[in-house]
Amino acid sequence: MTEHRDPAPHDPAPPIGDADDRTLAGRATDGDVRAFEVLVRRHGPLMRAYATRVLGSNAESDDVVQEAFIAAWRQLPDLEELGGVKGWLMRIVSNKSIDRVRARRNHLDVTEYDPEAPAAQSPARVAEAHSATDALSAALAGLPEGQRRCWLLKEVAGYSYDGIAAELEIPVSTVRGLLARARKSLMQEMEAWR
Amino acid sequence: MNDLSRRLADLVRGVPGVVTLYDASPLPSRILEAAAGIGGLALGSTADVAKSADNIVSVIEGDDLTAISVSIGVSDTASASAVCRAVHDLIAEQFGGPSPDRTISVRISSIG
Amino acid sequence: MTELDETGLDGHTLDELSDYLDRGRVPADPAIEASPGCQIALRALERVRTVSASLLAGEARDTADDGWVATIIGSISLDARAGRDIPVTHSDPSARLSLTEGAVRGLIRAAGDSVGGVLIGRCRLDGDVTIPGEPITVHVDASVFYGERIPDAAQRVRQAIYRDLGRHTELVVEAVDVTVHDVQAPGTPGRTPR
Repeated sequence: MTEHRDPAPHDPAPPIGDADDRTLAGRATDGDVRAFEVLVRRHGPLMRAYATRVLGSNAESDDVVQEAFIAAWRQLPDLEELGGVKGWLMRIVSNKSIDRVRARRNHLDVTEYDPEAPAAQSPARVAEAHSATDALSAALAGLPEGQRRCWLLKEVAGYSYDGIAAELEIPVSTVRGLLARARKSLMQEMEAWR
Repeated sequence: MNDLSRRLADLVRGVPGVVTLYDASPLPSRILEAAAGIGGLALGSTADVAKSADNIVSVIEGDDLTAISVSIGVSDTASASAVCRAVHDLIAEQFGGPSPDRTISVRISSIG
Repeated sequence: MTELDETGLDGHTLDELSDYLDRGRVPADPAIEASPGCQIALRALERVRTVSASLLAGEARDTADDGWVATIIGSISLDARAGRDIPVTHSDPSARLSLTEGAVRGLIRAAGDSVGGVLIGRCRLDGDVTIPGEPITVHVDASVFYGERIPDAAQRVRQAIYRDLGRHTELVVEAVDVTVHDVQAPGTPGRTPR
């Protein structure tokens, strides 16, 4: 179902690739596949980077992001705040990622599970980092899983404390504790890096 | 495969303003067919289905009623409502005019 | 890391400061604002958060390849967007003729886009479109190019929608409401204000 039209005789319509999120989400809600494709291109990479971080590898992140977009297409008609489509997409991909982690871990408590240290984890890597993002990335990799996950949900995906608690199925008080510890470690690492 | 269905599909494609034929069979039946390995691409986009399916025009013949359904995409060069009527009239003509024992459904699923 | 030691925070805690930042430092807390220790901690905290928020953006660059996007687009179904059946009348009572609501929305989008300088977003048909002759109202969201006079653009959109609905459908359109939600500078991806 394409929507091709001959160009108008006067001004052209603004290119859809430049449209704001609310316009695109509205069109996609009404069945405009091209608008949805622009959303996929615009937000997909960030969602993939996010999924990769939560899943610890990019092997599964492609699948997860695809699943997220297919779910998003179905659920778009229920989205009330169309301008907030980016945060909404981030929450969907976050949900899907955490579902994967849960399935993989076989009901292990996500806040207690601590995977083997990736190479980026050693404090030396933080000190060697060339940019603040690299430094933070290394510092984040050094955090226990639960702390890292809470931090990403809060500061990257924009979740509330209650939202994180619901997402990870842990009490809000636990979320507060994990975030407090993450905050302290990250601030210390980053100040030391400076 | 159904000869009548195919013949009607060819006729409908020839109506000025008609650009696409979509699979007119209801979605649940397509899902069941796909699950049974019949329909091939039946869960993809509607356009894919149209390319791969033979029975694009749905013809259901009951004891007392024949129901014909077609779903089309039209260009915006002619009035969509007018094209819709023209498609109906052409199909009706194949059966020798209107009849109470027959329903003809024409649905326009895209314009332009 | 003496500056992060909570003893330097004049009785405040990092948790408290984090919540204070979450509230956008509103209402201003004179005790926190007057404490040098708190100010240092707030700056460090803001730095970590800013870097966190930008963390994935750096990783997200150039990863939207076409095959990946095509897989997503190929997996979504348009059937979900057909909406209501809008009748087309015929003298033969055995004729069941209709336009899908999705097709009519596509028509409305194309009509609005064709006037130049405008991109249509969400579109709603208010009223019972399934009853022939029932008056309905069309609501569209639109983003308008920077430099367009908004009332003129809205008027052109209304006229184009009346014209095309009149040409293709039997809908009795009582009003076309145009809501301009965004003014967009040419060539820059639009941003929806929060």
